[in-house]
Amino acid sequence: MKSITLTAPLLLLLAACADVEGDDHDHDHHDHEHEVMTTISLTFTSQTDGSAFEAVWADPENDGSPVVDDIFLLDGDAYDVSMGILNELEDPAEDVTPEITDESEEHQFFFTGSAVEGPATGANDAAVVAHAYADLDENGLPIGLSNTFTTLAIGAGELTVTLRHMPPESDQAVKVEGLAETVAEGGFGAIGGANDIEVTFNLEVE
Amino acid sequence: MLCVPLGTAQADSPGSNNDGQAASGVQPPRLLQQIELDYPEAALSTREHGDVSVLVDVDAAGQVTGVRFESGAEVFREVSLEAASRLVFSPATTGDTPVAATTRVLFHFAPPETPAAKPVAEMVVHSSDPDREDTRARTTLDEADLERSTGEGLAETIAQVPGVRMAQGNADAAKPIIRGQRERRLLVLYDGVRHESQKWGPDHATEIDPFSAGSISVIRGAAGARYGPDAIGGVILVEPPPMRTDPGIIGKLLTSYSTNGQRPYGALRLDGANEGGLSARVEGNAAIGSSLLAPDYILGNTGTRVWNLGGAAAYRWNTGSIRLSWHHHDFNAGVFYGVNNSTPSDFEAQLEAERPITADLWSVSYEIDRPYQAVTHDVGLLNADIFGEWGSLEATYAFQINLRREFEQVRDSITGPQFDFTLRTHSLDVLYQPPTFSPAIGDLTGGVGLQGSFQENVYRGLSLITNYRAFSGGLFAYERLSMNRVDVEVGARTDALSRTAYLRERDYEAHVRRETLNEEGCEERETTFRCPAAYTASSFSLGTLVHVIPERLDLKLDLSTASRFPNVDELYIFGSSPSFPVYAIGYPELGVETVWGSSLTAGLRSLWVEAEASVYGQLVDDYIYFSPELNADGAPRYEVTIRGTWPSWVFQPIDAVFTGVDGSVTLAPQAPIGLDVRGGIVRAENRSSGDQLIGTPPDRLKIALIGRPPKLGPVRDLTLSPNVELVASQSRVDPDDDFVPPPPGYALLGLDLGMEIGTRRVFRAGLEARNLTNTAYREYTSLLRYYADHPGRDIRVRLGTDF
Repeated sequence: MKSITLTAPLLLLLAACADVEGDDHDHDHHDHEHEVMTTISLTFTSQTDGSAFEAVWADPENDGSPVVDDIFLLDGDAYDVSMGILNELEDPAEDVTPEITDESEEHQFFFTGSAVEGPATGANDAAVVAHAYADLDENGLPIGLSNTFTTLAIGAGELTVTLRHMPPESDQAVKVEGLAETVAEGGFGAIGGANDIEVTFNLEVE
Repeated sequence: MLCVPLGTAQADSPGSNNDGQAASGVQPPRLLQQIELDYPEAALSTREHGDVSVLVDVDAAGQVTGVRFESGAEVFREVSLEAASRLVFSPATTGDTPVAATTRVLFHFAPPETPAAKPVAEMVVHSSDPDREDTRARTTLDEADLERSTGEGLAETIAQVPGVRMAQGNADAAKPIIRGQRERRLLVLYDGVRHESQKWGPDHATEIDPFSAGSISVIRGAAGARYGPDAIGGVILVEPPPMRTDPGIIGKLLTSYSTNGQRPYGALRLDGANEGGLSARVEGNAAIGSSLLAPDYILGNTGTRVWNLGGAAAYRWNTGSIRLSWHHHDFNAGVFYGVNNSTPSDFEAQLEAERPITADLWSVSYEIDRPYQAVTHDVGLLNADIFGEWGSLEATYAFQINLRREFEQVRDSITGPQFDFTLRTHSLDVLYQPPTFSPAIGDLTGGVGLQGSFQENVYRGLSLITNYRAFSGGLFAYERLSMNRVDVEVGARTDALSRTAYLRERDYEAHVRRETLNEEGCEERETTFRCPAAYTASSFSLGTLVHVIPERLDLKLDLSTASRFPNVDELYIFGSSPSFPVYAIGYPELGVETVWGSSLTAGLRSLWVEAEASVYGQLVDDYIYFSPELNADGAPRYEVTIRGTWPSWVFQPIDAVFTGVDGSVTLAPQAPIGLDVRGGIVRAENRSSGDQLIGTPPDRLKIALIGRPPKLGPVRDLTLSPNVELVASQSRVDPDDDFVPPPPGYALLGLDLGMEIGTRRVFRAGLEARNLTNTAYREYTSLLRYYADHPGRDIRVRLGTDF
């Protein structure tokens, strides 16, 4: 297809054109108006020896080409697992975690997948790790920014981490008691809100 | 010999309106019956041709009470006056009230073709009704029809036309569908100006205020040769009422209240004119609605606030007029809480649930919470029209700004909109219509025109729609030959579009990675990639109107082509759609979509039956279809994002065919009891696979019994109309092609009531009850059907008056 160039003189007649071209408008500011999250990190700290490592799911360009770490845990150990969330479209990267903490009564993490047994999965004979929440919001409901993973057996499977954003509707709380158990019974379709994050890692216990 | 009275409408200034319409509020008398008329023997010797104009007074009963010779050759005076006095009319009406009126009847005399022929021939009457004269299926809603929809949006208002449906967005934002084609493939002309907005969104309502219209005409089928690109499925012509010409001030006041949504509405229009030819108008309306109610639950956060304000000033002189007008539309609407942009698995789970998960939390409120949309549309235009013996010339410059801001549910620290679109359009339309040329075989009318526009789109937000700047131009001509019983109209048009898109790096690279974007065609700039593209298209039409039995039975055959240039979202979108759980991917190499349409329409009018039926077929080449992307092995493809895994859907060209039937039958239109039946059937197939296209409207039929009780004291024109709307399930679409099988069919009961009250000041009152039994149902063409039931019972009362 060929460009038509006779339009150039007409451009001079028209004001306020420049922002179309995107070169000179403040689009960083407007991107910030989005709830952008590009990266989630799980920091595993061994309760046995205090050693720590990080597993990261990152799509820094937010273009559907993520880089995903695999998670390796040791059998017979338990881990403190803390979550970190970044928006790497910003430069420097914006740490979104404090905002989740501030609005913890609207947010909750869920841990599901073939590798896990926990409140959001119900009984799972194939699980290699057990999940338990280790934090509570102002209403006494779990958040999942801090967790405990206890290895159960040697083996491998998938760990899916879901961050659900549940703002109030008609001024009524959508985040209520027993959501993890509801997910275990009926999946995420059985609870309100929408996903901010849903990522899957390979997890192996050795 | 031909004697053809042309046009029964009170002649407006010639050329001031291409589509013809009644004077404000008054529908002119309509000629009901033809009569025979002799070519005067006195004129035989000179074989004279001639035009005669006669003014005819028609009383409120339709009887001719007076005839006056206005102009024409003296030799035709006597026969014209005699013929005019024998004409039979249905009276002029204001609202539904018959009123006395004067109308102008034009006769055209032509001598017998052979001197030996008997100098007697039948007289043929051409009505000026634009719906009947159009060679396409066309329905015009006049002010009375529009008033019945007081307080409703454009899509709801025109959904009363057979073959027209609407697609409800999330709850209170609807878009029209004509013959299975949605807004991308429809052209909306507001006061002759192409309405330009973010048409692509399934929940973006058409930003047109029906109150500002004096008439709305719906053309079903391709009309690109006359109206330009996008007119593939049809055209919606929104015409403001004519400016006032008689000195003085008049006004119109309308109010309504809907129970579902507790929605009051008020509208006021003032029209004034002086003796010097100046006229002015101000008009405005506002409505506020609370959350809507489905039969079993509240549709949380579906409140709306809408207001419109407009004005116009005009100056008219003997040979022309100039008019300046401006309209502002302001729409704020909550997005139904149940429409969550979550993963496909959530989406499927919620589809299986009988009611939305959090429905018990929702309450009825006028408050608009996040998510919501805030939209404004401004259109200003300057129209100039001059006419003389040389014909008429009309030019319109218009400027439109469409601002759309969408606010998602986000963390408290974020206060602004998440999607922010600004679309600016400048346009210029010029039309020249030469005077009617009347050779022996008939009358030739026509016109040539050109159209140009400059448009720019500025989008702020996460990657979704690219910014662009576009120039487009079109050149068209049409000619119509009106003969004794046959009219033939031909039209041709050529259009070009030059559009430069400014892609963000992320989108550019994503398309390059997919190998769908030619890197050579784009130029790298500081933060964007500049990708120009140009398109051209030609359209033709050939229409025939045959008065098989004059004033009784007409047949119309229309053969048309029309084209549509791909939109930027279809070319470059790359991201998850705000209200649909798919990852949408554009296709930068898309070309022009072309339709080849044919439509055969029959219109029957008699005292006891009025009917119109249309059958049509449209082949669409390179129809841009949004559907799941498949791998080489036929398995669906997915995109992995931090918010989950989404099926990828792409825009791709397919060859499609649309066929269908639509129409209406009214039995006993004047009798105390009558019946009205209207409906439509559409089939839309992928020509290569034979699959029915997703979103094709299901078969539909509406049956209304109309009772017209006699006058009751001060109450006149009482109509009482119980009705039932029957909608089938869309059983032809493969259920596996969609996230959820099509919903079952349904039947809805309704009741319409209309009347006029008062003698000195006339009030028009009405009541429309819909879904009387409060049946829970889902509408296949609506986005809402994936999330919740359609709003339930609604009773709307209205009151209007002129002063």
